Amino acid sequence: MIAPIHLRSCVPLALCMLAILAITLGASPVVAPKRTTPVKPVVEKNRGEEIPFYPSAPALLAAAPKGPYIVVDTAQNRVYLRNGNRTLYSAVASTGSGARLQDPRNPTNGWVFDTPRGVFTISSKIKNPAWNKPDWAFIEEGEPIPTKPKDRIETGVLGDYALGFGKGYFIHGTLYTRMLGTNVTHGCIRLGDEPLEYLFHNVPLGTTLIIF
Amino acid sequence: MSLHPAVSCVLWVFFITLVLGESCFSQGRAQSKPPPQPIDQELQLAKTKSLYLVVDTTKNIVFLKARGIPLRTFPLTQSAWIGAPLAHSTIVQLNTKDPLISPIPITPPSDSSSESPPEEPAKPLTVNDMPNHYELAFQENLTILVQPHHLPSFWENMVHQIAGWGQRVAARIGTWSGSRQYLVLSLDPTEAQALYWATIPPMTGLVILEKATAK
Repeated sequence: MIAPIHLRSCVPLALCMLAILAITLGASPVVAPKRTTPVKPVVEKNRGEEIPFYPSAPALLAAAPKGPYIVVDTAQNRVYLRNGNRTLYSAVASTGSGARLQDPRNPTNGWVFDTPRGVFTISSKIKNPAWNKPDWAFIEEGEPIPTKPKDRIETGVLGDYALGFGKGYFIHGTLYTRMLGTNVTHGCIRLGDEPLEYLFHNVPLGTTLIIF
Repeated sequence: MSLHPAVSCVLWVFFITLVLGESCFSQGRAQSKPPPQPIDQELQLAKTKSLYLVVDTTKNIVFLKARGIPLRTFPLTQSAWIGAPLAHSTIVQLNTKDPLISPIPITPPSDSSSESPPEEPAKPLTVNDMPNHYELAFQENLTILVQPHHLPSFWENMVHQIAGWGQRVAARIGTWSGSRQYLVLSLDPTEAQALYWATIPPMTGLVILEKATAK
């Protein structure tokens, strides 16, 4: 036989259990954010301001280039050779003008002379390069486009060395040294004779090139 | 053996508490899955061959980076959300810039054989030609409004302030539908121009906002 339940005697206990229930429900797990070990960033002077110039988190170090790498600043027209957080060399350069040339043969077609931005690799190194002039070089000068490939070759205009980084883009020399420091090229990166020679002899094939 | 009714009642309540509590606990565990950490998200971007932006609203700074290396920093004077901020740090992809600066056209000489001196080449665009007041629209329904913190000329400053208010009011109305979120970044005018130069669609970005405040 079940004894009659006195509800009034159960109320404090029920309240107690409800309190436990409420606490249990409220205690949803909170996962603490994962902490990465802070590393003091290496600070370097850059254009008069102090910035942390290398990954400040160990996880990002894995993505950073190993060994020397080239950085090109298209806004300031400067080239840096860096290794880790150190700048080994810097020089004034010329990068893309961003100008547009329309193709008279097909008005919907044209070329925009921008230096590509992103992460590239030095894929070729050439001594005494000759320029295989593309169509736009003739159109820009108002000259007829030659039919024979040999008529496109021009020597002595790219300096003593050229470092290719894909799709016909090069770091090369220039005859127009007074234009260094300005955005005047068709997308290639122009350097003076001395910095070009320095880069050629100190940058191996496969070196990372970052253009921004 | 029969239990005292009070004891029986306590046991029932305890049992129900356990069952309900565990059920809700596991539900809560599933719901409170932590969002990815900004460092993990950035590592994802650093592994690509592209430049990327890191908009850190906790430190009021924008980084242009590649392979984890900060290439350029853009200190912010202020950052604020119009309407509700993003729920957590998010990777976004730049869709468009407004206004767009058109490339300067090159006009080839009509007759290269003539003796007349060559035409002066078109002056190339530089950072100084870039706007300091613009919108960066991202695919993830996020728009970043970039505006100069202060301009030296009084009237120019006034015009920019009015334009900024108009832009923010339009953004506020835009948030009513709940489809778009707006982040306003105020920078030094030259820094704003440099940021415009640095941003090229379809580059990716990471918006870090643990301490972001709604405006």
